[in-house]
Amino acid sequence: MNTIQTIQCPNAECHGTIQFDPYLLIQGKSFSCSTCNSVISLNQESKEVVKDTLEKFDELKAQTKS
Amino acid sequence: MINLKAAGGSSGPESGFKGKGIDIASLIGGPLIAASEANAMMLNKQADFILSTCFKEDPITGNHAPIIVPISFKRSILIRDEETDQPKLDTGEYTIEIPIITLIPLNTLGVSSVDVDFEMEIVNQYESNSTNSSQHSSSRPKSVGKTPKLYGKISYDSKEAESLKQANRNMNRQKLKVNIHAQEIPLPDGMKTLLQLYTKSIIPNDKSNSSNS
Repeated sequence: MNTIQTIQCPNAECHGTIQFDPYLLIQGKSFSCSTCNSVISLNQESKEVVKDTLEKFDELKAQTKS
Repeated sequence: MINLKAAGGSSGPESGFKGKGIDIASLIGGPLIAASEANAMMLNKQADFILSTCFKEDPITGNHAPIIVPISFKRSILIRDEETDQPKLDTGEYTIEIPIITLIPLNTLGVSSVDVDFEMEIVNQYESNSTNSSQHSSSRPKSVGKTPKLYGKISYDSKEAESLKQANRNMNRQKLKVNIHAQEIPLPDGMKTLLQLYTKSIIPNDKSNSSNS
């Protein structure tokens, strides 16, 4: 399954996009904009919330596929 | 679970195989309706998940506001060094607040195909007068004529009968194969628009400024 997500680069002067994998994001990986090389990474305080949400999402997928 | 009820005025599924047979429309429509209901159940479950984990409900107004998580954002910009009067790369660190829904690889799992496979022996054909239906829909043009309705019995699998040489036994068995295939389907346009709005509204806050405030 494709887990790659895309957001608009938060750099106001850039019109590029940042592609990231949320599962790698919670492991501490960072992802950069292909246009301006700006980098995003998950804050320590956000890790638990995002991890918890992704786990619930995986549970839901497992339920609907069974 | 698929519940098939035979048409033709009889109450139980078994009794439909006797008499004038099973209405073919019901036989085909039954699995399709069941698949459609299963599809709706999956979509409702995903909608509930999105509302419960990606939004928080205001207990007073009942409105749902997105759950926001802070994310670190670093960007490098070229600035002029005041001492050397040369361009230099300056790295700024910011915090962006991002709705958690934009981090989740949402997809929609839906029923993509339903195959209904059976062999049917037509035992009866009725013609019903279709002009009676015009009383329900007065705006539609009245259709004149008669609508044929087919009734039949699901026949045995002839290939299987040959291989097993049990044709007489198989005459009393009916087979209806229903293959339902579910796969990931694209997100609905409304959901895509919502995600686009959220991702386009991400604005970085200077980390030094936000920590001071």
